[in-house]
Amino acid sequence: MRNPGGYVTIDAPDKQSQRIVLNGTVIDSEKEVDTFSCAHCQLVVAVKPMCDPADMGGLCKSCMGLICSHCYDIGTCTPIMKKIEQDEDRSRFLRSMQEWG
Amino acid sequence: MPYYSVPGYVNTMTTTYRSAATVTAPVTGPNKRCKVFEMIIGGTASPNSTDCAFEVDLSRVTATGTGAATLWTSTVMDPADSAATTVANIAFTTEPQTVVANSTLYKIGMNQRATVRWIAAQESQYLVNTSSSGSGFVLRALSAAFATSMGGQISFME
Repeated sequence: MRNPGGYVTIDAPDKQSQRIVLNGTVIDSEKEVDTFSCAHCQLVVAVKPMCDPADMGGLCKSCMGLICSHCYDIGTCTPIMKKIEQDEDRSRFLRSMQEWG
Repeated sequence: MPYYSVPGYVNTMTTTYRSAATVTAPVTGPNKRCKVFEMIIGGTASPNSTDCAFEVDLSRVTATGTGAATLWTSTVMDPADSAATTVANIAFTTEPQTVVANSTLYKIGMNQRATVRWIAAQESQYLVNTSSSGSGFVLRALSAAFATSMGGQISFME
């Protein structure tokens, strides 16, 4: 996978202490691992070296963003920024209704 | 776009989640979107003699309740920038948030001796929050055996 976009660094005194589990993915004996944020829900997904994108979720052919396996299974495209705009619109609407009483 | 950091911590970890830091949109405006780009997590006390682990979770919150925490003025990374509109609280002793169910964005199980840093190197990878009042992120931790303190810094842009 190219250009995951984020990364995690792990500092520990020994190999045993270095093991982490990031959102269900075991990272063993790595000091640094790439991550990406799901383009639909923003879950941080760990990317193992030389990994096929299909193993981590997939590529949304609609928004061309990397997505997690859960969003891949949903099968529809709702980018996170669209969800955020919908939430803000809802919040503005509720506020205006409260002002009207 | 100004950058800020919030050095959260949990004084005494327990077997249930205890919040280290929250960054939320203010209840009364003006509100801005908060974009988290970095988290640094690690134990801040001497490790237990028996090896143990702790679990850290970053989730979304919809409203800040009336819990007990220390209000923190977000540290401005560039002194030329103005203060953040996002409200930050650290070191909760009573959990106040309305955590959105199944909204975990970053959950990590780690050793007590490790320090873990996540950073989004591209803006497309930032964890974005809505500007709706009271909504935001909570960084919280629990441990079955590590009962001392941990630090969890959140860095964000708005």
